[in-house]
Amino acid sequence: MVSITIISITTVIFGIGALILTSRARSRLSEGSIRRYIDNFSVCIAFIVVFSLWLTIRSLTNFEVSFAGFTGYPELIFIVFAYIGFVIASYRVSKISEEFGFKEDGKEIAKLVKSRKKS
Amino acid sequence: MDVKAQFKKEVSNLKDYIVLIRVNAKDYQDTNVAILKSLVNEQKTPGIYVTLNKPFEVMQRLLEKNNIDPRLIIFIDAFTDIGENKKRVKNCLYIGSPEKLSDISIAMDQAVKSLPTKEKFVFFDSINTLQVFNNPGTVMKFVHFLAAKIREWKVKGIIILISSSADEPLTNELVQFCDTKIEAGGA
Repeated sequence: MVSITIISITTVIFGIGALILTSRARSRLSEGSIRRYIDNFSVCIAFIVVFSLWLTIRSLTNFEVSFAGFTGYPELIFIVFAYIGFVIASYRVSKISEEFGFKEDGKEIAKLVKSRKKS
Repeated sequence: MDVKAQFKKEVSNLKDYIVLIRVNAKDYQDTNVAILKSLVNEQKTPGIYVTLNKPFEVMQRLLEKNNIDPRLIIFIDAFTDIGENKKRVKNCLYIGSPEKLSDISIAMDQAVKSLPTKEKFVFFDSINTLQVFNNPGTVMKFVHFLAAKIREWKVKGIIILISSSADEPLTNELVQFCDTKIEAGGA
């Protein structure tokens, strides 16, 4: 019981630490794609932190909350939201890679330079 | 001495460099074309062109008119307003605004690393436009970043500064990081 409590509290501390680091990173960036991605990512972390916090409080106090359809583990709804957030964040990353990915352009330029040097 | 000859003379002994070109508004376009001609046509070096003053389409037409192959250049267009979403076309990424310095930095980093050639250049046109959209502290920080990155990437860096009396602090800051400074068009 004690070890579960310690693990839960440690998890919450790590989660809050992650949120603080993300918020600091966000404040250094100017408006744009990367900042929007960080916003998404922060929301995901926030849901996970709320989930961990809920579990911690429950393990410490044996406090039970039950919603209709969510009896037993209503906190799982936060994990569902976190996963939805991760899907959105992943979509944003794929868009960022489309925008900022110059690999194909680079390959074509290298070919052009080669052919120009030959001629 | 014309700017092209001056440029060649100044960088002849340098492999990788940062050159600050201070030019008056009247000669600005001709100077850019002359430098690009030297890099792309004569040295056959591909590179990255960050444009804050002209849209990509206009730059493309200008280069074609002057027999410079725009296909050898990756453009980062921070001039054209494209709203919230980025627009990506062949050889160009539209950033949307010179305010988005984080996006400009990441785009430059990715574009430089995507060029597999040994020799490459980064052409920044122009540094004072940033001052219109960002506060002086942020611009100074960006200048430091840009200089450090150009050294790290081991590329030829050309920074354009359109001369005006209000830009003295920026010029003084830039000169510290540059290997050489060229005054073009009687700036």
